[in-house]
Amino acid sequence: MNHSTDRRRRNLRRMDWIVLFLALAVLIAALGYYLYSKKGSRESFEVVCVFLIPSVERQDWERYGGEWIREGDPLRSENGTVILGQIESVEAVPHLRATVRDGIPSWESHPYLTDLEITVRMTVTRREGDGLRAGDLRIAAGGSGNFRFGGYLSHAELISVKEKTA
Amino acid sequence: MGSSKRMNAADWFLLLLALLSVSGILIRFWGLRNRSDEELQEYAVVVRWENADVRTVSCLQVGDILYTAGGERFGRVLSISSAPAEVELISGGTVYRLPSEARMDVTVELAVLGRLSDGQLLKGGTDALAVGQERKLYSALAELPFTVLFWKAEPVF
Repeated sequence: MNHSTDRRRRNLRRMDWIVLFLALAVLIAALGYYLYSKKGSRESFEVVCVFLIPSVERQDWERYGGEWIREGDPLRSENGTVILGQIESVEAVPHLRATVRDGIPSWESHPYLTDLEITVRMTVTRREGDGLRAGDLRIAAGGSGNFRFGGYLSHAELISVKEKTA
Repeated sequence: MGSSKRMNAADWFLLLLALLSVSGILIRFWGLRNRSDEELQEYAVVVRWENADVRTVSCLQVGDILYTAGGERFGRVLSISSAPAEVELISGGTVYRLPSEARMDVTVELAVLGRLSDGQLLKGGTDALAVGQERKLYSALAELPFTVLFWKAEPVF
């Protein structure tokens, strides 16, 4: 009789602890959810980004550029697994270099190199404090990284981000 | 009956854990309350953002809120001024400085919430800003790698 009463009491104590821990787990989950929801939800919208690829061999670009990047191609992450946006246009612009001629400094187009400016349309999400994101990637003008522009893998600087207007 | 009420090692451990948790929470809230009681004011911090593309600079606007990479609010943009970044050239032993058409050196004035303590500006009351310090902040559209130039000892009104 005494043995069974003790066992029942021990079981009760064990149950108390289990209930206590479950309650604690629920409390932590609720707190986590509250803090997460307090950060706000993400809104989704379109932006137009301009990427700059500097110092591309002009001759190579003129010969093979059409094969490397085409309008309508996807912009992908460096490893190619995530599509970040769609290429709207590709423009070759002069790669400027500083020179001094007859004692006068000036800028001139580099004879062998060109820069590429690539305009990309992206769908991004935004949350206060967390900036713009395309997938996990932070999208911010002034940032840089490696991307796949169509079939062309290159380091590029993101020089402009504008909200797309209708 | 008596043995069932006696606490064993596991009970003591759990009790200790609970006491530590409670004391941790109390210390945390006590610290936060003390910090919020302090007089934090907005101070003007002037920073330099170098060699930024003209179009990148246009992505930053007066009134923008700047955040750290971790999402913590850093400050508010009060003013933006820019001048062409200069390239240094040496030709025939002469040094020339050529202003860039595409790149700008930007000076940004920020309102940062903090307090002055022993000649230091403590952002948020704890994070000391130092002249020459390099940091990276984010606005809604732009990324700013900047260097702290100076701060003004008078609060912003």
